[in-house]
Amino acid sequence: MMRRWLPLVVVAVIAALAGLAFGAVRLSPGEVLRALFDASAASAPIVRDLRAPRVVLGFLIGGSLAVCGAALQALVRNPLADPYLLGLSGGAGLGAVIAIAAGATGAWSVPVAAFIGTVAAVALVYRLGLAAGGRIDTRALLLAGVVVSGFAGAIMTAIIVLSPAEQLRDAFLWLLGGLGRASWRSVAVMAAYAVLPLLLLARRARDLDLLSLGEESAGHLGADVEPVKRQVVVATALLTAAAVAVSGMIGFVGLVVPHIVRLARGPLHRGLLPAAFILGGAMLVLSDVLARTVLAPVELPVGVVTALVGVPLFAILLRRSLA
Amino acid sequence: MILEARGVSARYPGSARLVLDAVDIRVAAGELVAVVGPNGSGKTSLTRALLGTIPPVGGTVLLDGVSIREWDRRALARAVGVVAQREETPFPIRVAEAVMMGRYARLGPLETPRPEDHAVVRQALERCDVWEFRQRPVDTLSGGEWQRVRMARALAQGPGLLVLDEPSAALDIGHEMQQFELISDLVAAGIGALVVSHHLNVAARFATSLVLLSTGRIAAHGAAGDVLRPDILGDVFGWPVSVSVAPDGRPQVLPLRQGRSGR
Repeated sequence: MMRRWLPLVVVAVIAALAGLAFGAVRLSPGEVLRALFDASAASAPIVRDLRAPRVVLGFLIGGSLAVCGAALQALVRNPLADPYLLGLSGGAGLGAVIAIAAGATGAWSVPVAAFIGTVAAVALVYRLGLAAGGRIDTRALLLAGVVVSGFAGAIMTAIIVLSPAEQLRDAFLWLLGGLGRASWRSVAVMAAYAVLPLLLLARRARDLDLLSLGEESAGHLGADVEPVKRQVVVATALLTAAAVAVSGMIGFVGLVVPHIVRLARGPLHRGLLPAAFILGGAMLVLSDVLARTVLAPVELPVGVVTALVGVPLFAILLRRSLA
Repeated sequence: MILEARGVSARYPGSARLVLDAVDIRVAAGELVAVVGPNGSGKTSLTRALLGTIPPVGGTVLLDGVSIREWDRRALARAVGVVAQREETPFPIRVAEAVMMGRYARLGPLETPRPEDHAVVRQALERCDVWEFRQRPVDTLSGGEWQRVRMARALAQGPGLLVLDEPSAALDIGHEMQQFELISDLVAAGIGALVVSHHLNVAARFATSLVLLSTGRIAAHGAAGDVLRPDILGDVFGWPVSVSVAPDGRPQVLPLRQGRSGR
């Protein structure tokens, strides 16, 4: 037990310490610890108010995306599935771009618009993926996701092209994703929001094992196939929608992390889901550290870093699995 | 335990054609019922209707007197072990993990397998001659090995009935006989089994009774000698056969060559 979880915990702790130590002002591990335990330390405001919420938010978002990717890969029995599969990317982007183009200014207006766009897109995809008798046809669901995403993307592109340069840049940066707006308040919102879908998916871990054999065999082995599919679609959609609303579109964590975990400890979801949560969180926090420090004082969108790290990693894994 | 279909008709969504037309069939504890028939005659559809995965448009399916549609899926998985015709393995689980899935319907969502679950899995692996593969990922198995693993998983369900759709497809004659001897032993020990097979001669040697399907209807049923007759088989399969008698007294079917030169 310890042997299986220890490496993950170590990675997570290193990611958290790095997230707290690195940035515009570089702190030693000692300073970080002092700030954590002593509110009057010189570095306490930086660590406690700026970096800690960013680390916690990174863990929540990265972990949620990785868990969603793992669950959706089992649901559609396709290792290429990622959290944005169900039309989420198009819907979220369109919602956010409309809000930005409309000149919305409130701190929460873009996230809320992105959330609404995401849920609308998923609802449409879900409706298109329903076969006769209210059954979810996972192949139709995949295709509907592609179609809805493409259509929303086209509208979004048109709006961006017709927008003034300043809004164009805002929209573009938002789409690439980042944890720059992290605060204890956004952490609280995301945490409160993520608990139920994550617990639901954890409860369905064994059903996800069965679903990956195909729906017929899953049913014979005791899975209540249609309710399970509905719950997985709704839980992953809501979780991803919240993640996107808070941090924009962060790619590759949800695709790559489940594969890494499967290689290390096999595809059974009772181990896969929690491990994917921890590793996904650590990967996003570390990517965020790179995004903040590599070209400092310029901050890269974290989505660029997860792609730059995730794509080569994925390519290596792919080659290895083919060898 | 008794599984029976009474006058069951079924069609797939979006199709007008009946894949099953007023089919009656009954499997009870201690019986091995073999379902045979040409491709597309409704054998797999019959297993699906019996297991409640396609809703009948007419008739009823009862398991121990209760409509199959009313059985809770987990309770059904504890009662009936199934090897379906097709299955996917997109992620390489290990053999022992695959067989443990037969126990899932007996485990709570967060419960770890108990010693008794491991014992049942071990016994199932040994009985199906796959114990030595237990640590191998399933995507490295041959077709026949995978088939035996799925049989082991069905046994691990601890069922009162087995529904097996071509359990010996892809098996060599040694493993095919081993598979049917195993089913036969289980039946002798009080399990009921419904087995779909293309292998008429194996069905003839092991089955308590045979059901011959033709375009969704029952063309013949009863003891092997009453079903495996040249006139009936020639008609249903559209190919001439001769039927002889095996050393154990069961009928053995031999398809004939067609041509001007005769037989």
